[in-house]
Amino acid sequence: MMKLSCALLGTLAAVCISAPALAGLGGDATSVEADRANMKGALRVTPGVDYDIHEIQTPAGAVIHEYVSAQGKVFAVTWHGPGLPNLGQLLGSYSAQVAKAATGPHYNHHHLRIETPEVVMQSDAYLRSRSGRAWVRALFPQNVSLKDIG
Amino acid sequence: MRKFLALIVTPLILAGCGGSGTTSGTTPPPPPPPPAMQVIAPPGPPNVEKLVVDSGPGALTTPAVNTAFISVTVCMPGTSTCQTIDHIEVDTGSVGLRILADAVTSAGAFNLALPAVKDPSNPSNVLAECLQFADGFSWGSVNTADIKLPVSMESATGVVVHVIGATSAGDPSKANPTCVPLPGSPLAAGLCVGVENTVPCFGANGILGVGPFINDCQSTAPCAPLTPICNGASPCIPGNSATYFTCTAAPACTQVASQVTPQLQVQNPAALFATDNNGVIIELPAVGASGAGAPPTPLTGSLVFGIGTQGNNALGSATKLTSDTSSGVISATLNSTTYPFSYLDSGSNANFFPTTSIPSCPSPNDGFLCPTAGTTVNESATLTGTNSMTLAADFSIVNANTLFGGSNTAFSNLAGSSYSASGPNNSLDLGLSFFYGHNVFTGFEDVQTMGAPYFAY
Repeated sequence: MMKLSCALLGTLAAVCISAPALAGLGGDATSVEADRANMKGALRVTPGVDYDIHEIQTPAGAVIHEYVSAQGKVFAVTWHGPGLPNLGQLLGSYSAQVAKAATGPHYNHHHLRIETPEVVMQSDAYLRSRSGRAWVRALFPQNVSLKDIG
Repeated sequence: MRKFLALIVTPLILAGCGGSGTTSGTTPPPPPPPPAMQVIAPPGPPNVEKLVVDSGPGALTTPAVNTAFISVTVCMPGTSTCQTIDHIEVDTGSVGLRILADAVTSAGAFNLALPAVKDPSNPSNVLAECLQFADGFSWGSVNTADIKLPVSMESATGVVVHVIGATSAGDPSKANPTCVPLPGSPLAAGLCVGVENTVPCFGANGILGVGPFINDCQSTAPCAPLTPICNGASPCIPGNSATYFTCTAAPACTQVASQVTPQLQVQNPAALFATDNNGVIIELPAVGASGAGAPPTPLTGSLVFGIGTQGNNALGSATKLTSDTSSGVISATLNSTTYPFSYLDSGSNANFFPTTSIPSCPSPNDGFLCPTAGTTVNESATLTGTNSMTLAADFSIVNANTLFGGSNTAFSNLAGSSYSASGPNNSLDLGLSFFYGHNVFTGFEDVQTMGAPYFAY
């Protein structure tokens, strides 16, 4: 699947072939580039002491942040825009366990929160905006607070 | 006159406390002033609909909580062929009337063959719509109906509505882009796999979105779809939370270009009434600490149409906070943290705010907060509108699992954890928990005067 899409992406193929199959949470900094290429977005990196913020702006107008720790791992992702992002890609290898943890209908069109021992995902909807975040507990840098992730 | 009465009352209180053999050395503190009385307009014409908070329609697999419902009468346009559908959720956080095709009314299954809205650029095609919620996708046909509200008798003709799960729209996974979660999505989970096209998966027989905008996509421009979100080359989901599709008779549905004008989009029905069309007021009585609305007795209140248009809907002493014209949000401050993306939303079943000190409940209720059982956490927020007006918003939080242990359906102290962030996405959502005991006004945008939407209470 990934090779076929890389062929279609043409000039970006060189980047694709070397990118891991799954990007997003738990991935490394180079996987963020794979996310950006897949989303056809523009990337801006804000380096920091405890983490770097890789910001992807998509053509649809969504802003996605991937937080990369000093160990080089994506420990949190956030999104805010006019629609849902590719959540499977953003949650990477953690997507399956979040799906499994979802129980029954939630009956809440505006907020969804699913927790597993390893990962937390929140999805929020209000009028024409959609936003959310997900993070991996074990990869979260010790002196960084959840409040810093936005 | 009042001063005279107070002089008489106070000594009586002191005398009462001195009895029963206790030594009278201290006087009790004076009682706190009574809160400003909430006046709930009685349901009836011309503009007050009866609102109920209960466990929802019978087809639900788990009872609804903190969800306010009305009934809506839907008619074939220009006729008196109508059906009244109960348990339509009232949602100030979305826009548009959406009816589930499998809703069952007291007079039988919903089966009106409402006329489809044709694609104006290809009239042999009809329109469909994909709506993304926080927890899943809803797919259905776009139709017109005459709407009448059975108690207030407010009405509008030719309203564009969304019939979710209509067979005429076909299989949502066959639409292009698809209206189901992408493969590998964490939303493709649970019994409903992120698809909300039936009453048991949606949670109501329908939803009446009376949020502050006049339609669900673009108030003053066509709803042009944004770049789809894809897994590689495909499959893809729409890039926008509300996306319109053009469908052949087969049906084969593909997303539209820019032909869906504001008048063809799914509309805020309350903005289409002849009068009383500039906003709504939700009026629900206060409830006690363990809640209310246990079957078979729903909690009742009123959905009032119009603001300042009748004797019963004046702003009065309510404070008006204007909101951002494109997002409908205001700012809030809570515990020294600023929440720039805040709002009041009757469609949220709790107060949602970021917290790292109050634990979430264990699964399956991890959407809600569970402070230590037997304790009450009190919060006090300040809301600020784009007009710089402010309001205090006080609320309490109690262990959700304790609340759910009874059979009540309406809770003022139910809270959940929301998106916590520094920066522009930080959000405090005052949901239905906050509405009990307050008359909450949602003022619509005015596209003619560019008047801003607003909240008030």
